[in-house]
Amino acid sequence: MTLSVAERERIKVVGPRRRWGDLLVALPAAWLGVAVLAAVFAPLLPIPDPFRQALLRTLQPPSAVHLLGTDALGRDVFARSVLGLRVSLVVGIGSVVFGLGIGGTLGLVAGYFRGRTDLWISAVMTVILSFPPLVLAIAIMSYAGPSLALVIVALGILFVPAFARIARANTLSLAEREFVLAARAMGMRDLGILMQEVLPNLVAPLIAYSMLMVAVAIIGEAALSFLGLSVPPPQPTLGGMIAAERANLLEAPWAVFGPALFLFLTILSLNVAGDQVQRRLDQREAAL
Amino acid sequence: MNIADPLLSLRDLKSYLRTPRGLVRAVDGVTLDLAAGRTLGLVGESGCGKSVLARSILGLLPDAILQKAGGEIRFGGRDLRRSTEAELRKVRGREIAMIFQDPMTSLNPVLKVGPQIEQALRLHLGLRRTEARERAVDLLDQVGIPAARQRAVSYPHELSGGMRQRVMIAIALACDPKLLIADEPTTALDVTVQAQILDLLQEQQARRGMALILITHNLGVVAGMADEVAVMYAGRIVEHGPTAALLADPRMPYTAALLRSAPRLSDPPHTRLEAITGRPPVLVDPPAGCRFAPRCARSREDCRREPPEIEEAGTGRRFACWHPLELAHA
Repeated sequence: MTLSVAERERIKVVGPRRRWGDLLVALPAAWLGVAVLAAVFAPLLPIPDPFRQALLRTLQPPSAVHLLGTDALGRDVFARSVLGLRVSLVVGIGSVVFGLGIGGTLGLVAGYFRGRTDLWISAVMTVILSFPPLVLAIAIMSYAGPSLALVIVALGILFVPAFARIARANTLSLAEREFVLAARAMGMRDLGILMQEVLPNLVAPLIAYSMLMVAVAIIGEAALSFLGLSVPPPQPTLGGMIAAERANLLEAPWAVFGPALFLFLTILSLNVAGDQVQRRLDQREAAL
Repeated sequence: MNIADPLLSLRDLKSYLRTPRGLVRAVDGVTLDLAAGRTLGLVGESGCGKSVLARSILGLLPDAILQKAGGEIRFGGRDLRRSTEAELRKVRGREIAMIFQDPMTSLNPVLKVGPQIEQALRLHLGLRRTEARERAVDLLDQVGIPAARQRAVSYPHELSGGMRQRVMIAIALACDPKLLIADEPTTALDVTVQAQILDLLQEQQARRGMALILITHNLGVVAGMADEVAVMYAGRIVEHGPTAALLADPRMPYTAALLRSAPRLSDPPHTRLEAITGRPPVLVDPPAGCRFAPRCARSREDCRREPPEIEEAGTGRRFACWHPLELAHA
């Protein structure tokens, strides 16, 4: 079969772009996979003890033993960054699950029942949204004292309104669709319609949004730990490491840029992958 | 229950809709009986209240919109108008099932079709998952879906419009309802598929002995399928009778106008269709007399003063008109 010039041009254009798209998913996914594995199996990894101080070997440059050098107390920056990433991921995922669970449920209920229920839920969400987010998180953390569970809850509360809005908006339009009417005509009760008819349709938009929100949560955690309001030391956090070593930035940039690199790669990966997932879901939506 | 009692009987049913422009009298005093196993064709133009009537029977309109302005819906010894939501849920799907106009949107896009049928079976018949799965495949087979077992794990978007409507019918038939309400079941389908779907409905109805209310604006569909026809105009039934007699000899001028406005295959090409002049009345504030009077060629002064009641006219026919057309084929 011979191809016309136009067709050949089209194939040329489609080919590389498609490969780019795949790469944009594969690279971030690979980093995230490595990061998650490293975080889960951190204690088993062949890396130096992140807590052992060596006051004779402080601020060492990167070497075969210390991949990212050592900090002002002679601790291994790479090992500490891995542990810090562990905190970042636990907080990022935990707070998004918290926000997704509570916000998603509230939005579902508000969008389906509308009326007074919707009014109250939306009002509360608007009140939460009207706080400057980081100030609210700082207020919660400084009131109750730093702990891992509390960081998750404090950041999670900030996500509730965003998830509630997305769930509500989608539910509002879904509830008008004929298959919801058909389900009622079949004798299903409201709870059944919500769980079996509406919720499965919300999964795709909420998942795509969640990935982007994990990135936001990790930034939030880094900001809190930079301010000393996240998980307390000696547990290393990426933000806490940057804050502690910033005085030595000129002599030992690795002690700051090491954890910063971990943060940067993770957040970039989440955003790029999240965008791609969103785009693919949108295409699928359009095809339905 | 007496054997002569109708399956469904509507008495002076009034369903008004609350809208920003005021109370719309979408169904305004409908009285109708339907015997078990019979097919009623409910015809009328868009906005005449057909769909509101159908949804009123199952109580599907939310209280925020619907004002129950009176009347009774007697079905199986109960008045559905006065039933609680919990009682209605047992009737919906189990005793009265409904299928909708657009099979593209009345199936859940993210669920496979088999599980969507299973829902009805598990809900009303309390079947376990494995039993329900077998029954769902069986139902898909009965509604003429080839390779039913493979199709049961398809998503709706993988099926054609006709296939989807067959799935909707399978869901509706799942619990062997006594009455099936089909709200324009073929309007969104290709003409060739329409006939197949109507055949399927007719076949299933005969096999199960269920009654059927077929809502349509297509008189051809009604002529082929319905035992009796009720013509609805502006929220009221204006004429009701056995299909053949009503179509051959309409008494109410609106019915006659509706018949004249339908294209006929025997017409030569480029024949102008006879449109009904004017528009249906706004049902927020309907005219005082006969609601068709402003568009009716036979209307006189008395038509505009007082509305005609629907009255028996022998041989099972009823109509609401002060100056009816004469019987031509009597």
